[in-house]
Amino acid sequence: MRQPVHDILVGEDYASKWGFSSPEEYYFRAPKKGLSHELVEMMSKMKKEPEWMREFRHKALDTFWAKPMPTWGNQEALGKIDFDDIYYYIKPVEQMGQTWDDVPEDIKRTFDRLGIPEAERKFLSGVSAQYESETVYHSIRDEISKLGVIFLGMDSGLMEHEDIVKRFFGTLIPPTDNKFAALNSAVWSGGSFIYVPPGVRVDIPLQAYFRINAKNMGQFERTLIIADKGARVHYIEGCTAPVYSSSSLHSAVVELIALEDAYIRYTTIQNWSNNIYNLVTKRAIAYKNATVEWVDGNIGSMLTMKYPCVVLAGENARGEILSVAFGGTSQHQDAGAKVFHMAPRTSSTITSKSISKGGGRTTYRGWVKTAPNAEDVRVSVKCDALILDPASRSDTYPTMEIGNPKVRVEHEASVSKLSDDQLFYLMSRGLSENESRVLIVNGFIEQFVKELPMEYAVELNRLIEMEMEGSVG
Amino acid sequence: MNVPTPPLELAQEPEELKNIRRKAWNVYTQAPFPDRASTLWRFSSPEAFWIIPENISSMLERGKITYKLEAPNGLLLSDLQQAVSDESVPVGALVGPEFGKFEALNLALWERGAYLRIPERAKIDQPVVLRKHVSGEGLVLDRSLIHVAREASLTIVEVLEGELTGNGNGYLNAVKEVLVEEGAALTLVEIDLTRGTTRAFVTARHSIGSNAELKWVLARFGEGVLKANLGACLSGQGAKSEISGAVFGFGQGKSDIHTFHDHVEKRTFSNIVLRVVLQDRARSAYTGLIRIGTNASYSEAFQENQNLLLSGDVRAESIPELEILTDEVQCKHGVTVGPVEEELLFYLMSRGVPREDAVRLLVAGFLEPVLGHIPGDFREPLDGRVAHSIKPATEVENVL
Repeated sequence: MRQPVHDILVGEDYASKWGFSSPEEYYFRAPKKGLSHELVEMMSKMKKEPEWMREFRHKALDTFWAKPMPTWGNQEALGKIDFDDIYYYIKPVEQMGQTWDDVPEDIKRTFDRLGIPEAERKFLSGVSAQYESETVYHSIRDEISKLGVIFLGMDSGLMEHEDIVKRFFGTLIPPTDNKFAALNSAVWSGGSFIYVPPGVRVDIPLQAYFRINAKNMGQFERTLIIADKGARVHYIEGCTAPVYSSSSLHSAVVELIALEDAYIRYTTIQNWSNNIYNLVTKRAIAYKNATVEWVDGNIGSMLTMKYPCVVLAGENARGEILSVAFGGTSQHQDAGAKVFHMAPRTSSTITSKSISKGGGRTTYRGWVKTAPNAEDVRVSVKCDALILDPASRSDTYPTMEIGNPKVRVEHEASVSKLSDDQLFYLMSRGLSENESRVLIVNGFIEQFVKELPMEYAVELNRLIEMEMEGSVG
Repeated sequence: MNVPTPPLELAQEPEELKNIRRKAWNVYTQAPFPDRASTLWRFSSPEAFWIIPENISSMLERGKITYKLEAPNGLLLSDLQQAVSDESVPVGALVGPEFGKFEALNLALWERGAYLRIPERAKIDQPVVLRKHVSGEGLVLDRSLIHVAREASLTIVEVLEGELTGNGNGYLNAVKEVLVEEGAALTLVEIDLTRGTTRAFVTARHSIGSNAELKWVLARFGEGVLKANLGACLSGQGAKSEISGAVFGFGQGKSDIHTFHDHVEKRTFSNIVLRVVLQDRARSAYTGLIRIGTNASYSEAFQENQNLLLSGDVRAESIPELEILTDEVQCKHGVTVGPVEEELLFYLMSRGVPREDAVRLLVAGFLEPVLGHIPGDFREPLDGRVAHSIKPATEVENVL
């Protein structure tokens, strides 16, 4: 019945192993597809939200309508989004589970199919599983809540800690930031809310799984993580989605706030099915001596547009963005990184690895900016791309704007195919061509994989192997 | 809509060219302004180069350009105007009416230009020197067409001098089209020695045939404003293009350089080295695109932009872009931005070199990889400008 991780065999049909879906049973569905002020009003009422949030949503909806679509990026794919053909809010039958036993069977099945072993679950400090639009399961190990750490679904976070949410919500990514941030602000539901009090160090990564599981359903989760002075937290979000025939839209907003001396690492591996638009706005702010790290893996989806951003607002703040993108057939991974150095002695590192295969397309789009007063800044950007066949494509669009002479910026990018020498070397030692390719590709992304917790590293390597199936030729 | 009639009608021109001019005039007057969101116009405002059609005649009267060719025997610089009436010359083949709004202005109204055609298999050892001199305060249109026929080879040194004064409305609008045919080799050295705050809008397109080679060296040292769009299309197998540029901006100088290497055919090679030194309130923006098309396997492309920032209020922007549409390629680019290495300064100073001279030495060393390609006689004024203009001892550094 349950499938332990090591039983997932490489080479079996991807769809039957990972692309499953549970029957759709909902007691509530938004009455109709599409967006309206009535929908927003109803969502807000259902969630019993405070007045300011209700107004925030309505305002955001107007902003969404007023804002034009981006004029850059993959215009063809963007043009196909039909905003009127999407369910914006669906609440699953199941209510918030108290313990793992309370979680309904078919949701558990979903997690079983993902291959999280029982033993590992106990280790996971908190599993906040987003099933459809609402957090259905949420558990936090006692020690963490004893430390005063708040780890809740965004909806519950708003209910229980309105003061903190009100102070930070939407401050880093206001609805006016871009069209998709506005959309999210209007119809957000779910996501995680984390607050780590001053000086508290959370040693075990906090995790959440997100899934999209209903046809044509947009998922608009909203995550807000605040690490107070001197606090430390690592948040992990993993996504796998069942295969569907019609397009879905995923548009999340993630805000990270690292106050003085704090440390936040945010790790994502996304493996949306190949018909999903993944248009995400992620931004972090690091105050004096704080560090923010984005570790970002993009596999799957039809079009991903995601540029994790760090605003280095205080002296000595540090930002790091490490990302991997895999663009397979009919996929476009338009990912990148943004860093704004607003204070002296800040530093940042961007490392991007991308692989395109089977006519897929990967794009690195980056922006590094230093303010005139930002002295003694160091920036290092490195982008490597691997193209596996003649039909695939790789683009690099980095932007560097330097406003102070005491800044050191280094940018490097390279694009190449798999090296014949390396292939020959491995094959001469008895590996098949495909095995050799998988090995080289896994070596190419090693720098990224080694930053991941064990189970994610295993999962990612396996996903790459699956994606590489039949790439000979 | 009421379209002002083009202020230029030249009777002796072939009908075809007249049509192109009319089309170009329509583009200039009717086309919308370029999108500021595109990388090409991200760092310069198109409005700055817009002159309302009604004013163009008077602006043209107030700007002047002269051409002078110093060439070995037999080689003639033709007036482009003369050339188009005598033979079929492909004006507008690479930068046509649809190319851009301001390029269209040039195509519609250019009157004087330089035309150089190097016959097949001609090997010219001595550099051909073309001197251009601008003056006045209006609009100057400069158009050149260089046609290097099969297997010919030569070096052209182009020196731009003079000054455009006035309230800053006028500018030099230069368009260059260069055809390098199969197996030919062209070394093109362009030295900009304009004075003052002369503004220039420069567009150049090269077409490089199979096994042909272009070496293009650019140097621009000054306080002027430059908006350049420089491109080469590697349209034949085995074509090769190398661009080296040195920019030294001071005062209120501004340079916005875009390069485009378009690899269309197999086994093509391109390399760009752009070195920029900035001081005072100078600005530099470099945007460069390398595209390797689906048909251009086994190609190699490299791109390097290094910026040396000397003092307080400078700004440097860099956007090196890659679009790779096939797999059998080698492509790399790199950007660095930074101040003069304190360690290197310390090394020189510990050997008794005064700080100012040490900075000069380091700047000269930084620019050498580009300036090294420029024949000796032409280097002197450039070296002189570097030595003269460097003001290494700013207040910040004096504290040290």
